[in-house]
Amino acid sequence: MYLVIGGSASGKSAYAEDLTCSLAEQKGLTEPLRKYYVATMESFGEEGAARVKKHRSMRRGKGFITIEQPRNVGELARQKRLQGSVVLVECMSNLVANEMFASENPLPPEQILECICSDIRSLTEITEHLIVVTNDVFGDGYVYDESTMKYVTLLGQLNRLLTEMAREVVEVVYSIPCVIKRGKNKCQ
Amino acid sequence: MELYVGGRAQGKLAYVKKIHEDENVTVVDGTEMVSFFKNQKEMIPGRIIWNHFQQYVWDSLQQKPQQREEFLMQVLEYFPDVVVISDEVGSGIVPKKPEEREYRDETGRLLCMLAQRAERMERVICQIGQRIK
Repeated sequence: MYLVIGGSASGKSAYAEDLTCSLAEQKGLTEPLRKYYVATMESFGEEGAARVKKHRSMRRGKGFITIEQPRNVGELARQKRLQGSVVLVECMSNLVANEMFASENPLPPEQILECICSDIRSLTEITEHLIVVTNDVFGDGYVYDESTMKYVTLLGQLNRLLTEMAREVVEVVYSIPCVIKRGKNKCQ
Repeated sequence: MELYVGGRAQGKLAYVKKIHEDENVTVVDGTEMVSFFKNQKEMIPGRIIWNHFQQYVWDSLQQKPQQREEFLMQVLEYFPDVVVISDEVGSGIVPKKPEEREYRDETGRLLCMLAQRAERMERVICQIGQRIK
């Protein structure tokens, strides 16, 4: 599993897409592996729609099949079509927000954390390569309301757990990739 | 062109000045670049340091729509060895105010563009730079 992290408008999506494409074009293959883009964002209003449109146009022509999955990404691991393919999941910040705030009966934070980790692990097992995009929301000076602080803590914990799982972690700084972790791991 | 990014008050300008201490440098601050470029650009020998780039983005978004990208290209073309310094923005929770969201997005977008063109890029913390490009 590859983890890509960056702030807003850092160029992390473009980097993750390029990484996905290059992983799908392995040596010795007559044709590239199938590429799936798992979108976790639910768009609201004009601005949300514009954001989705921007991301869609960035992906156009790169051969991605888009799957909208705002919650329970682990369900995808049961889909045969994802077996042996290269899957990009974007992004953990939306997934965590959806699990915490969009559900009528949200699980307690520890359980959300466990669920997402096991979902990602099961996707790692069935795919050839899994690329996960997450967000750096940890670097400004504001103190938010209680539920937002819980969200920030949960996303931070998730990022750390995913980093343990990942074979490679890259931070994207205004389009420049900086390797945070590269090495052998259990969950390759 | 060189690009230096980092948090607020990390000594970015002091660090850049130290790197270029043997050169004749002129510091232009944020939005002042607009009038500077219009009126004074011919008069300056040596290297230009454009500090507080993020302030230029913020100010120009508050005014009527401007050709920021075009302006940047003109600056880069005229001063190919310009040093741009910017605060890193974008690592927080999505702001409630639309103008703050736009500011983060636009600053990020322009910094990505500059980073792609930069011959050298560093991230500065505690007045120490880490070269990332």
